Formats: sequence, C-alpha cells, structure tokens
Amino acid sequence: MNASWADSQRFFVAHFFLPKTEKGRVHEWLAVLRRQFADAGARILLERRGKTRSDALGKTPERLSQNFGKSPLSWSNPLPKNVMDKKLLKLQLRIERETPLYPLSISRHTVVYKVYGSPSGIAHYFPELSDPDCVSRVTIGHCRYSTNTWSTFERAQPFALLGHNGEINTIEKLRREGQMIGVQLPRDGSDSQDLDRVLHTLIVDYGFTLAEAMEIVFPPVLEELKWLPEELRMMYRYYRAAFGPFAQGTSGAGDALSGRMRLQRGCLRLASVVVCGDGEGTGFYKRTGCLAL
Amino acid sequence: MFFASQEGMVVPQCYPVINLRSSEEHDSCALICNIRKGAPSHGNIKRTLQALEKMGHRSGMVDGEGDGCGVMIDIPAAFGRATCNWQI
Repeated sequence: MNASWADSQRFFVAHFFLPKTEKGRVHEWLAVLRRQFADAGARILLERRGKTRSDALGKTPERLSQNFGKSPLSWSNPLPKNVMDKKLLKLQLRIERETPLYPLSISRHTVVYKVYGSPSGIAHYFPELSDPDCVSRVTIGHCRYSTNTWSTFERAQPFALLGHNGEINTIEKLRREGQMIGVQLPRDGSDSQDLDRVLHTLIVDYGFTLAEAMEIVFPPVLEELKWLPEELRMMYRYYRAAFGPFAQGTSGAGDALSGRMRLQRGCLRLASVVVCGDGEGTGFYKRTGCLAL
Repeated sequence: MFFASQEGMVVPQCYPVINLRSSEEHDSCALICNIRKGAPSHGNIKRTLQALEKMGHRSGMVDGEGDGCGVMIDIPAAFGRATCNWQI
C-alpha cells in the first residue's frame, strides 16, 4: 500500500469489535465482512487486529468479551463526497444487520476508541492512543453514566457522530419518529445511540448539514422562541410540529461528514470545550449554549 | 441506609459514608471536546484523556469499573504512516 493513500479523499478507516463469543467463527465473519466491502465498491488496503491490553478493563468478565480490529480502506473508484458518506452509512447498517460485529466507526474523517471500563484504563487498553504520532485537531471524550438503559459495551460513547450528555425521557417517541423517517435503529440501543443514528440518517439520507440536523432534533424550547425573529420562529415551530422535541441533553458532535465540530445546546447539562491555537494560550469554555466551529 | 458526612454531624462507623456535596456531581455523563486550531497534536488527545480521568466520578464508577468511556479523534494518518503498518 502506498503511504499517500492515507491522504486521499477516497480513504476511510473502519474500527470494529467482534464479541469473543464468536471467537471460533472469526474467519467466517471476516469473509462476510470482506464480501460486504467488495459489494459496496470498497477496497481493503490492510486488515489489522488492533493492539489491546485486556488487563486494563477491570475484573468483570463481560468487559473483556471483545476483539478489536481495524482496517484502512479506499473506494475503488472516485465518488462524490455525499455518495461516499451514504455508502459508508449503508455499509455500517448492513454489517449491523448481518453480522455480530460491532462497528465503532466507519468514517473518512474520524476514528472512535472506546471501552466498557473506567476512563483511567482507555489509554492503557489502546496503546496506540499513547503513541506520539497519534495526533488530532479535534478530540471528543465521553464518560458514560447510564440512566434509563442498562450498561453494556455497545452503549459506551462516543458513537459515529456524537457524544451525548443527557437523559432522553421521551426515548420511545424519539425511536418511533426515527423509524417513521426510515432510520434503522441499532440493536438494543440506548437513547443516545438512537439519537446518534437519527442524526446520521438525517444528514446522510436527507441531505441536512450537521447544524441543521441538530436544530431539527433539538429545537429551541418554547420560551426561547419568543426572542427569535418571526421567520426563525416559524421554522422552529415547524420543526417541533414535524419531528417533535424528543431529544434532550447536551451533545458534542464531530461532524464526521464535513470534518467540523459542533456543540449543541442542552438543558442544564454541561460540556467542557477547550480551544487552543497554535502557540497561543489555552481557552477553557464551559457553557450550555451552542458552539459552531 | 446511608448517612451524609457533614460538619458537626455524627456518623455511625458501621454505615458507609457519602459526601452529599460531591454526590451532586455524580449524576450525569462527562463530555469534553478539545480543539486545536492549526496543526494537529498528540497533546490534544492526551489532554482529553486526562480530563476524562479527572471526571471519572461521572462514569458510574463502582469498584474501579465505570459504565464505559471513549474518544473520537481525527484519523491519525501520520501514525499509520509512521508505524508502517499501513504501508505494504
């Protein structure tokens, strides 16, 4: 593989977990995966079993039940960006439907590393996160405190698009609204996982930007509408009526589709954002508002 | 049954003690975003991991095990090139 592939527009990286219960069928599932990538028109540049240290995850055996794999890939033919993103989401959904593999991220811009364990163990579990060559412009970090769904590996965050701090008490309604617009919800997903999938579908299948999708899913509360110009008021009223205000909380979303980052408003929940420039001081922001970068 | 540890309050030794003030901070997830304008850096990832560690009390931690945590980073192309694993 030529190193320049990594800088190509067609390049993307997939991160997976395979449950250890499927250990005996690893080759079978990898063959299925290869076929799915080939069907989608993607060329696998390399398959690699990711390095992990399982002693970092604690004592509970269920926490150790995963094998981590990663693959850099490329589309065989040049494609427009929106087509590539649509294909990536379709691929992710197909993998979820047809295999027991759990895709952490399949993206042209970002990769996700997560553990079902404590935050002190993540760097130890994924040694490559400690490598000085592992660099990033935007990093979103999340610790899960499970509220209305049980704690499992799949529900650890961030997901494909976002990290979410909130408890969605209208979880059933959000799911039903999502299904009505054709969202394939994840198996046994948490409220935040469903939210991530709804946003992803709105962006990829309906052509909204991350900012627009966020405004649809998190429309301003009625009290805030009073202060907005009539034009915006009408738009948000329409969003509230058409989709409904069924998501709550604060979301930090890395726009895997355009390489941008957005922090969305959210009730009283907090998120920390740190912005630092090249050679400048570090700014620290803690806010409940909306930050578009 | 739990007793709050507060000034002037006598807490029986036989009960576990929870500090009310700190328990207020245990009620939701932790979310951090580190943005570096300009060249990407490893410090960005490192600072996020340190922040997550400091907010471990927001990860449902019981006996050193939390509900899960993770990071989303840019595709580390330089890392892939440097380790040669992505080059054949």
